[in-house]
Amino acid sequence: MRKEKDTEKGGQGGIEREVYCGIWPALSNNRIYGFIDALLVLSGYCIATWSYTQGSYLATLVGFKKLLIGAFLGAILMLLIYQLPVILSVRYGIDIWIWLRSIFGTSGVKVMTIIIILINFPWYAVCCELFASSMENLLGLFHIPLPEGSHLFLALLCVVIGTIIAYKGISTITWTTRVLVPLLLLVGVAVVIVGFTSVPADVIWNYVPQGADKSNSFISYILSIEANFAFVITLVGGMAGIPRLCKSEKSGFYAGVLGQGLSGSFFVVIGAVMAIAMQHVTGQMVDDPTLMMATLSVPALGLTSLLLVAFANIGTQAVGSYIYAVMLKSTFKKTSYHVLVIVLGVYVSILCVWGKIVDYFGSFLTISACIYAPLAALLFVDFFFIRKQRLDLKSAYEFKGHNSYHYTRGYNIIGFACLIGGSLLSLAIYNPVTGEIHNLHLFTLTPTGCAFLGTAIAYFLLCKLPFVRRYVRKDVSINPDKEPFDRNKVPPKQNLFAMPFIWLMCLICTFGTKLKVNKTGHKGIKPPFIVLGTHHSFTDFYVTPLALFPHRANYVSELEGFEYYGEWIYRQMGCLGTRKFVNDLALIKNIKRVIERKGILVLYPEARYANVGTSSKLPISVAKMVKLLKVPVVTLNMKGNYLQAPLWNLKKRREVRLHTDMIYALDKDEVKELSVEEIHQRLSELLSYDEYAWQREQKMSIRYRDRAKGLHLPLYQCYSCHEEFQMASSGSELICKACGAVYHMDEYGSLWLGKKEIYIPDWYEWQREQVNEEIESGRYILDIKVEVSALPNAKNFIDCGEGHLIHDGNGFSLTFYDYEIEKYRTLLWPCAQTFSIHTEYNYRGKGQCITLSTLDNTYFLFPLEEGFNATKIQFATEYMHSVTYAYNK
Amino acid sequence: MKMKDYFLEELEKRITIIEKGDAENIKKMTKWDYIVVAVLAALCLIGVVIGAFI
Repeated sequence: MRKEKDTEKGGQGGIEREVYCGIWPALSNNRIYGFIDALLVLSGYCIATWSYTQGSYLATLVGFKKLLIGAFLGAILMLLIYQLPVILSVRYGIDIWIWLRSIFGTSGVKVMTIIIILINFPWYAVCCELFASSMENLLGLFHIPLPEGSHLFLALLCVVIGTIIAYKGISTITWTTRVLVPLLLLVGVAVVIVGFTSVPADVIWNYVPQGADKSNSFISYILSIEANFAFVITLVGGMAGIPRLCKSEKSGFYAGVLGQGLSGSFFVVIGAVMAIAMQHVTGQMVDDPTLMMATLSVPALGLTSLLLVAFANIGTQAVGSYIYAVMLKSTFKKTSYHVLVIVLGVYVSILCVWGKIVDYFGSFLTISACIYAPLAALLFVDFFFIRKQRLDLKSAYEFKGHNSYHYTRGYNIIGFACLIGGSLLSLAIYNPVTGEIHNLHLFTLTPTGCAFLGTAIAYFLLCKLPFVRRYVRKDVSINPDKEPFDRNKVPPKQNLFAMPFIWLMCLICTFGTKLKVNKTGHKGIKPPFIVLGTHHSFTDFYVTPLALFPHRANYVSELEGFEYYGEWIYRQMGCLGTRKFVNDLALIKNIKRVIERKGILVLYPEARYANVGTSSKLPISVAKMVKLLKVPVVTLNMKGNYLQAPLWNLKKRREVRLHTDMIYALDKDEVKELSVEEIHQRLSELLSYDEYAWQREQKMSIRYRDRAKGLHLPLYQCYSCHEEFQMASSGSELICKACGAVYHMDEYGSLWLGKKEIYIPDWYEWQREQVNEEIESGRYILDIKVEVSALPNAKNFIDCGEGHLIHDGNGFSLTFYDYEIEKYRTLLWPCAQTFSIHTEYNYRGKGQCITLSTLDNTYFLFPLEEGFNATKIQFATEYMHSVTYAYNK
Repeated sequence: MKMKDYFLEELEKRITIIEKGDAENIKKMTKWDYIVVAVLAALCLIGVVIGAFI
């Protein structure tokens, strides 16, 4: 063992103590165990007198051959699966309880450790009881009389010796087990020989339990497998205490598997052999090993074996105290390891003094078996499939500013829900108290197996849901998925079975809006055709399916929606993923595919929600696409969608009514005959809108109190003093912090400065002119630090840290740390290629941002300095593009 | 420096070492090791199923 140099500040042995008897990660140079040592220590943990109890219990259920299969193959099967995550402990040098902080939350894991200690540590009281019985029998063989109360004294002696060994630390435990375990295994061999020689060998080999018949033999067999599964899975809580000190993943893993699966199971089988032999000799199946030994073996061997088996309980007590004290350290960080060992000793002592632990042992086992399988399943799925073998250690150790595992007040609701669900599933299949089987089909998989599988599947599927994934994977930045979105993937049709739900959801979401769809010239129109819709808000996605009812359609959608709602769900809803304002040929190919299979393609060509309820300029490329596809075009000019929930304040205004004009804009012949410019002009006219004008026309009053709140985001420049970025909003007022001007927003969407009425779209366009002038005079430049967040696919954002954004006459220049090439780089978006940009006013609660896209990535840019307004940047982008486009033309 | 700060600093150092790849010094389970585990588990499962019929 490499001794770490302590400093005055660290106190004597401070670091070493924190590593070996605490929760600090053990570095590679702190590893002390090879396979053999780890196997011996874990065997010491697993071998105890309760193995005999388990063996004699199994002998009441099944014959010897089935017992052998269950005890070895059944146990090893379960161990091979649930012990696999132990490699995380070896890799990071941490206990599983540190990893479990990510599954239950930093506070939740404390609750779990205490529950596990409470329900698992009574095992050790049983150990002490059995030690006391063994010693009593041993002394009885020598006819040494024992005074009253000696049983309790002996039980407490076991606690004290085990606690002292654990108190001494890992070296003492290692040396104890190095001596004890090989001797115990030798004794085991001797006991088997005694068993097989004390009765004819075929009595044991051909043993079948009394009263066994074929009708219930299958149930008994499953019960025996369940007993083996439950027996080994109860070690899950302490499974990593030793492997975390191993030098290789394989040695840590197999030490756990074979420590229990071979050593532990070997002693289970010994217990069974002795029980069967006792039954043959005495007519009674006894599970007290001391009685078995005294009855069956030759005196000398019997005494030696008895003594060693008795001391095996001390070894188990010592290793168990060490493992569980280290586990408790993760909860009670400030309490010393030694104090925790003593506390555990006191807990066991109290149970010994109580004296009824053996009577209630079944109840403890019942509770623990229901919890361990889901716990093991959660760990397995989380390690391999959810967190994919990476943990945010700083969050796990609760460093300041690292809160990925804080979840809901320190508790991960999803983890606990799955744990409770898995436990209930186990109880729904089989009642271990009454022995009643509730579901025979699931029972064949065993209650523990079912609880394991059920919890694993539930947790895995839940984490597939985007909102759950975002909740559970707040640490996604440590191992993000970097694979770019597959743009070429053929979009499926809208799922037929999902359609009723989609329509129902759309009806619910537009309920109370008196939505009216006015269809013009649609008679006889059949797919394929293109639908071009105005884009005001998310409500557009609820209105469109209702307007197209009963047809299915495919929707062109930005990748961000795929990430938010989940790729699978979005594809089932018929969405084609793309990025905004890029020339995506793969998208055109997919659109063609939709049209060729006689589908309906819905596109919102503005590609961005309306900032102030007015239409954006329609790109000419839309007309070119119509010309290319040679199919009819329908336009959807929606009204009220912006007024209901404008981008700058998404609170729904309940007074708003919705209306949609669905117009057969171009038939097939017109598409063929008209020029691109003519098509563009017609579509531009049909898709133009002004929400505030429509509101006035409809005399639709919006009485929502905070109706102007957020309006300072699109109206960022004071109309009176022309100062930029000084606008604020509150209630129904827009205020300039520079000149003090207060603009009141009336119920019909007009702004009033005193008696002067200002029409919001006019103010918006006035700002645009100001920006255009700024560019013309050469004064416009944006040079700002930004936070860069990349979205390469539909799975996760990747934090790229701080970047530098410049926007001037050359277009956009973004310098940032690119995770793909692992160094800083500068990306350029020339004006000619940037028709417009996507803007957000409060993106997922992080404030304003703009996005810039390449074909395989979208960069979300959040300002880190003053002087950033998404709308102003959008104006500048659009103007510079129009100038460059006109020049190039 | 206070004892608490010292320990925090030491712990952070350890975490940094791990994040920088201390695990490279720990012999990892290879793809073949996982295959062996899967084969062993499959054999055990077959054994358990056969056990029901003997």
